Amino acid sequence: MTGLLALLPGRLGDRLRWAGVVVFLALVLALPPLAGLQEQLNPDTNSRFPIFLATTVLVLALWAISYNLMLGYAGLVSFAHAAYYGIGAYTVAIFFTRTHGASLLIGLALAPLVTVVFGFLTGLVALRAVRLYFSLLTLAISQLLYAIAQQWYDVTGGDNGLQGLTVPDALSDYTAGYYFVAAIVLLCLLLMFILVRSPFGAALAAIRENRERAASVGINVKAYELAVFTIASLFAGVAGGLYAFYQHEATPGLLFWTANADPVIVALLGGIQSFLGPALGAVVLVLLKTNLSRNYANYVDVVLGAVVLGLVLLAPGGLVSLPQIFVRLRNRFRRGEEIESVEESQGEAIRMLDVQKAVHSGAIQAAEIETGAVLLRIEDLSKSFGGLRAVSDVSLEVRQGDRHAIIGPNGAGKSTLFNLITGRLKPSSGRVWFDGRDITGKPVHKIAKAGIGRAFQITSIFPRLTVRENLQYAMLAHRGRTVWPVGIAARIFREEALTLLEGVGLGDYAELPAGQLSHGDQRAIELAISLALGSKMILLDEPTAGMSPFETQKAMELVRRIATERKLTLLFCEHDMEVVFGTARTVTVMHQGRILTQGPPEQVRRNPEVQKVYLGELEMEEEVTA
Amino acid sequence: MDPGKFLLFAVAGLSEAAFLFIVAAGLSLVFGALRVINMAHGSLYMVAAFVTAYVAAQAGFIGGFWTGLLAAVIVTGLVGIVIEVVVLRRVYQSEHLYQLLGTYALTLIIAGAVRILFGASFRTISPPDFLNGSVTMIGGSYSTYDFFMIGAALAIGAGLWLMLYRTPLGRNIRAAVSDPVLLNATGVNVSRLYTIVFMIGAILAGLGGVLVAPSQVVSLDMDNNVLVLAFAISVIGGLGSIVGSLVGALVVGMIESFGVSNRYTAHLSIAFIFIVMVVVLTIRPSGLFGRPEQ
Amino acid sequence: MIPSVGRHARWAALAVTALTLVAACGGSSTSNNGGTVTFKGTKNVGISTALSGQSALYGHAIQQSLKLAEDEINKAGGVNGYKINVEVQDDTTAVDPAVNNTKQMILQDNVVAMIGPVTSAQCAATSPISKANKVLFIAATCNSYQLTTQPSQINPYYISVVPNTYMEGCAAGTDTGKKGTTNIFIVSPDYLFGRSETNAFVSCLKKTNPSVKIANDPSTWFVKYPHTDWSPEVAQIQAAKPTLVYSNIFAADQISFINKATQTDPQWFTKYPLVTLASVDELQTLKDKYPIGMRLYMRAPFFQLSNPKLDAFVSSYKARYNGEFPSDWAVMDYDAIKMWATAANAAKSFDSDTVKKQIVGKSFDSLRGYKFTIRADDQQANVGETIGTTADSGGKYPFPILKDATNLSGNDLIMPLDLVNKLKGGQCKNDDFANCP
Repeated sequence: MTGLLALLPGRLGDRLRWAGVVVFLALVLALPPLAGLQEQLNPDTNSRFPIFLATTVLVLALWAISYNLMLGYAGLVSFAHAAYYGIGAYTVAIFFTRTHGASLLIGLALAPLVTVVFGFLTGLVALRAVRLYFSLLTLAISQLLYAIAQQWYDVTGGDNGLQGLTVPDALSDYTAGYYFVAAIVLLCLLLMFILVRSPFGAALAAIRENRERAASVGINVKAYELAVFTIASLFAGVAGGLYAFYQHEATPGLLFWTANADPVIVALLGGIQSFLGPALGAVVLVLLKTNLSRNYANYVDVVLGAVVLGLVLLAPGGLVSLPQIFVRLRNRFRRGEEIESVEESQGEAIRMLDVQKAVHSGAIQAAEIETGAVLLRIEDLSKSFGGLRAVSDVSLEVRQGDRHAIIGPNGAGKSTLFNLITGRLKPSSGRVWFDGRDITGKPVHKIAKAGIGRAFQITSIFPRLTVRENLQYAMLAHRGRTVWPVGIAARIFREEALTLLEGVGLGDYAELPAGQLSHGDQRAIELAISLALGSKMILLDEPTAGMSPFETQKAMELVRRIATERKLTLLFCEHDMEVVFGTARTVTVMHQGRILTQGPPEQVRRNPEVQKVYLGELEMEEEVTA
Repeated sequence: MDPGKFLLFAVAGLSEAAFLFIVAAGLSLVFGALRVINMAHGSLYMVAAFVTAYVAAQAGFIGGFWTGLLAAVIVTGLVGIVIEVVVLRRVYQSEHLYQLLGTYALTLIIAGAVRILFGASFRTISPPDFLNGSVTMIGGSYSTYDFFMIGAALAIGAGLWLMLYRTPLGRNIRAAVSDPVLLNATGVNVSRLYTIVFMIGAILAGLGGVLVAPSQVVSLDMDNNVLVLAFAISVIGGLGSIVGSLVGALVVGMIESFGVSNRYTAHLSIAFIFIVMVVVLTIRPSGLFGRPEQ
Repeated sequence: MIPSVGRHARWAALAVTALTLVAACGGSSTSNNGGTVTFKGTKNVGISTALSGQSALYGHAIQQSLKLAEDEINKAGGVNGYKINVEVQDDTTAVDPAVNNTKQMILQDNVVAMIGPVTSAQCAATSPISKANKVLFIAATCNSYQLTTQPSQINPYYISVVPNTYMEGCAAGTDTGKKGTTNIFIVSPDYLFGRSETNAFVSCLKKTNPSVKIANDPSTWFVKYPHTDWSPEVAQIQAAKPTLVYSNIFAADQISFINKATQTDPQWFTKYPLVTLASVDELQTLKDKYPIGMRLYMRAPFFQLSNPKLDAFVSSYKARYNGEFPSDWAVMDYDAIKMWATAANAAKSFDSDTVKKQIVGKSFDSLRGYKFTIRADDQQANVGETIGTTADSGGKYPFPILKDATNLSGNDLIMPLDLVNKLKGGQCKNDDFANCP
């Protein structure tokens, strides 16, 4: 399944996707009558149990889907989610116990509120670490909360937990209780779904795909991670509250870190990349456990472990990916037929560029800046790594409208300088001003938002997002739309993105996952992103690296035209001298971390020092190859 | 606190630190070299304990414990190799979620297998006769076996140190921990090295399980209980650092021992370990002695 | 990606769901096989017990005993003409599985009665389920008095045939108090049962011997449950040098504590005598390693309660189960299900309310050598407790038995009615009888 957001209905795949959702809803609504029917047909069975199981499934699905907000959509592996579930349950239970039986529903309303406070505060702490350490930190936090729940006998009932919660009479009937739970669960799912399709959801996807790239298109990664962590905890709290509602108890075991296995397994089982996937996983897990524990209690663990292991090794996409795997296997075993190859791009994008289209694409915006004003000013910038001075007292000015190339032999400090400008590195000393503001040492996303569009030397895109989504999400983030939790991300800036993509020759591949494109085409995506984000200055780090002469020529023609038409400033570093002298109006030469000289291209070319530096390099190369 | 009492609690804490150190060292080593958190580490600990108890019961009293020890070491070593080859190799390149889940699945499978093979009841095993005695010193009586555990932990720790710093294998392992890129370039068979390291880690878990069996009860929830402590110790001490595991184990052992006897800290001692874990992870994720990750 | 595949995804996924639903809704099938007796059908009696985990010892004995009882009941014609099937599910001594098992048995398997689980925490969690679904719940192992007197716990379908923590704790407390021992160290599992019984012990101890000293601070009385590493407690006890140690640690925890203590000092239980709850299961597990000279309180030790019915039961149990001796739990659960069968037959019905009328206020035979009566006020049986000191059995049994033993009568132990009523009325702070006005 490509992409995570539902596309406009009307295409067959999506019609079926919506049909699946309808079937799911129908099953949810029709379950009690179906169970009753079964009871009538087979008097040995009972309608209450399937309804009870279905309630379990719904709450588990809610919990797992809220977990998946973090896992599938933002790429965070948290061990604290069970703790929030437990806090939700305890909120309901403690409120009920302390108020000597005031309505359970009030406690239920409080559950998400209490949980979200915990989620936010612990998220603040947990997100100070990344990746594995983040996971371990959530584990520690979860165990801490568990220890509190288990030890604080007076409030939480200690090891026993709190028992004997009673449900309001109107909801004490299993069917009524079920519909109540279903209503809440469906509402929460709807809210989460809206969130996931919104520009906010787009930012999450970008973070999951490529954290660094996400920052460089203007996403404050930590803030978004905290936001999704907190939101996920809120829904976990609702799920926990519902647990207390239908199980009439809250126990410390709910918070133990191994309890996180349930939502994770369920999400994995159903499919992490799918929104409702975890719901499917919940159905399967509950049925599996229930049926096994009756007659094969000893085998529950082994079977479950085998299932999870099988998923991890063979089908990490979960149940929803099984049809794909089936098709792939079938193809592999078909004799004499060619294996259906995955559509791949041919690397022809740059050749197909349509400069007109690109230039006039709405994706490229230019801010109004007084022509000739100083846009970027670097003053005595230095950066040391241990004993090594990579950049040394660099001072530079780039005026608006300029095309400024930075050249120099390998190790001259060009990339370091770029990283200092864009915030990837913090300078040891010196200052950087951009458009009148001091941006020295500011975080990457803030500098990106200031109007600098950057293309990386090593291609850095969002591999599992489609080409179109790559560009769209970059634009959404850069233009500040990703704070919106509503709205359909797939629609915003869609036309502009498509036009620009056609402009850079990627029109045919707009719906392919970017990771499947050839390297050359991926560079075209990089270029497109930098063009779309560079509202004041476009910063290109070796833009034509790896391109053929023809591609180089076309790409730079595009860049030049856009820069001219939109009055954008260009700052780039290059090894290809033809590009440099063909595009740049000002050239700065760096050598061993310092600026050697600066001036118009011809002047620099004739400068004997420059020649010596490059000649020296040439000699060294010759020595090596000799 | 008078010296006698202090010694009582110190020895109790040390004996606990002993087996925790061995287990945590294994977990830490595997993480340092392979960059994988092995959730099944506790399961290997449990398997070793069950194997020892079973073999000792079958083999009778004479040499029962030592036979059991040998059997347990062999079994965990083999299981470790199988796990590394069949499961881990396929998830080294995956996101760490899949590594966690894959090893977690192994936890379930191993726990289930132990249940089916050995039954659900707990087992007990006595220490070997010459270790099954008691010593009277200031403070009171002390179990000889406790001292044996402490001694064994020291010996194993020393053995680990020697292996890491005095053998070619150890040199390669240290290279894997500190500079994996360089390791690749030196022509070492990385794949086989990983298998060996994982096997060592598994055997360490097994040794911990064997050592602890006579002083506690061998039961089916051993795996979870030790795992979370091993995590805490490895994190606090520093993932990848043996010295760190030692320090961490001492901290945890002492907290559990001194903490529960004091009226003010009795309820907090369990939570305290995790507070420390949180603090360490927030301020210095690589732990007290670990190497900061790039 | 191949567009056509996305098409299949949803359908296939739904097909899987549908298939699993169909498979799952197979329901429970019942058979009418009765052997020589023809039955009208089968009725299920359910129990969720500890077949694994901390109390696996007990669950094992309980399961065996109930199966034996089931056969006897069915040979005698079943109940109301129906064959009785005792459904035993494992809850690993944990609360959540017990809850799930109970729900499954009540909701899916239509059990007509439940026998209670092992731990008080589990009973506290599962009793409300039986209450909500109007299913009889006969507790034969878990015994915290709060389960029958705490307003939020009271369940009209809960019957207890086991001496509760008040009865047991006070018996031990009074016994210890009479001896005048002072400087007592307390160690107890930190959950409902441990707290309930310890508080009862301390209360009655202080009443009997007001000048008693407790060696350790209350905040150190309760240890994590289940508890595997007793080194800190062993160190604590030695540091405190008490005259006596009181505990109600049981099953695996008791075994590991005894092992650890004797490892540390072979004379441990001579230096630090222990008063503790125990059962034949602990004795059978440690056999001759079980310390001599321990003061035990036991709920139904067969060797102390010898009477024709019990002796016959011991013989059939041993014959059927490889020479194992039936422990106290086996005896009490047997009594529980026999009581229910008798009542159901008398009521000529399986309806809980109707059967209950034949239980509350009525007397029943038991294996323990006396008839017990279920008191209406808290639906508690006036069952007794045995206290004695462990001693060598002189070769008779592979484990120690009791000497200087007394079989205390339930009538002397049972909680006074005024306390019961005050507790039920919520008049006692923290639902602790010691705080009753």
